[in-house]
Amino acid sequence: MSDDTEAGRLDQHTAERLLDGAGGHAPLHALLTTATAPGRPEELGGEDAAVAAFLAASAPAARKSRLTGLRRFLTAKVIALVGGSILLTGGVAYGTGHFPGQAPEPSPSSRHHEHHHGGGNDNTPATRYSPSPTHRPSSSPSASPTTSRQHDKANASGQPKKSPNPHSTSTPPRGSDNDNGNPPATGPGKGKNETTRPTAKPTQPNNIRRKPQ
Amino acid sequence: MRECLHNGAVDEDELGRALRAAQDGDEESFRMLYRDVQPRLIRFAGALVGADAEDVTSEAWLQIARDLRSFRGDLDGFRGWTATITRHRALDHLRRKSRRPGSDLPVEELVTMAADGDTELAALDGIATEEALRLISELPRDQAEAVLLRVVVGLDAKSAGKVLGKRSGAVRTAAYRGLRRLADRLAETGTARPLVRGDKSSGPGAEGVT
Repeated sequence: MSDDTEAGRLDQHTAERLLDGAGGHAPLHALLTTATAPGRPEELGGEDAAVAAFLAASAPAARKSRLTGLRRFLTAKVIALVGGSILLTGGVAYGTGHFPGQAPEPSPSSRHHEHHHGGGNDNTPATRYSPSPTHRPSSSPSASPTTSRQHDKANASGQPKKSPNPHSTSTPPRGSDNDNGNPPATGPGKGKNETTRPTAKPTQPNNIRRKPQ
Repeated sequence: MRECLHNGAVDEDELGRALRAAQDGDEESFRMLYRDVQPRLIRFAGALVGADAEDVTSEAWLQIARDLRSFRGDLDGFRGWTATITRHRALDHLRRKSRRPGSDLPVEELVTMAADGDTELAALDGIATEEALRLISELPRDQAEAVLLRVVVGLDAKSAGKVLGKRSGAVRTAAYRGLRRLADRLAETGTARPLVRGDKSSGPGAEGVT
């Protein structure tokens, strides 16, 4: 190989300088400078095709991220609406004293009975009564909404009264046997909460519920 | 770092900003990057696939445009990344064609020499960019790649090694050997002038056929 026969002509230091764009071996420097001349039009013929690919690659990504953002925003709104309406209706129920087991008059409880036996309106009492567990601990304000469910369960285990649904035992404390229809009322309420959960993070409804308190 | 190959003489800082903007979807910035990088890539690819370099770089740019947003790095890193993509596309191309274009042409047919130029520099004045690149591409492939990545693409030895899947020391050695061989070839053609063709674009040096 001629690599070694002409070793004296170009040492490694000079080679490095040439590779870095500095001078040195004049003919080689001229050759390398020529090789780095500015781009010629014929070398840039693919510009529009590259730009088209660039725009095509940019557009779907932007659209997708916009859609994802919109979906997230809407999900948050739905959660806020559901949580807010639950709270509001619960607050109304609390204010008007329409609590299951709390009302001494027979008329509200009988009305609830009708609701439950009506069948189709199960959801209405469900949303109405489901917040009552969160409000009932307000007698002990330190209980946070996130722990209220556990609190309910603790009550359930502590309750001597049998209830058909252990998750709904937050209502029986003040209930009598007349209010047997009410525990199922909270049962569907829970169920409704659970149906909203898959669309959102489980903690969010609790957080939203906490705000108005 | 070597000078910019962009025709508009854009400086490196501006190109660095253009890289960020292009990653955010700015078309003009992408064009600016293209005009800087494409000449480097097509010259590098030319050493691998000869006349098919344009096809190879077109394929490479499809991938560059698609993956630009996910690229992480600075302008030098971007040049290395694009060179890696181009090299992969070139090797795919070679696998498909199973040949190496360009290597069957003697360098003397590609270089236009000065007639009685007493210095090699004077001879090189007549060599257009294309001929200079062909002269480099006549080197053994590892040497040609090392020289082109260092000189034309503008990478340091370490970055060039990443493109080639080699250690930086191996790249330095290959580039050194390539330059020595180029110097030898220039000396040979400058003194012996075995064959001169004057029909190339480099007119000033074309008159000296002996």
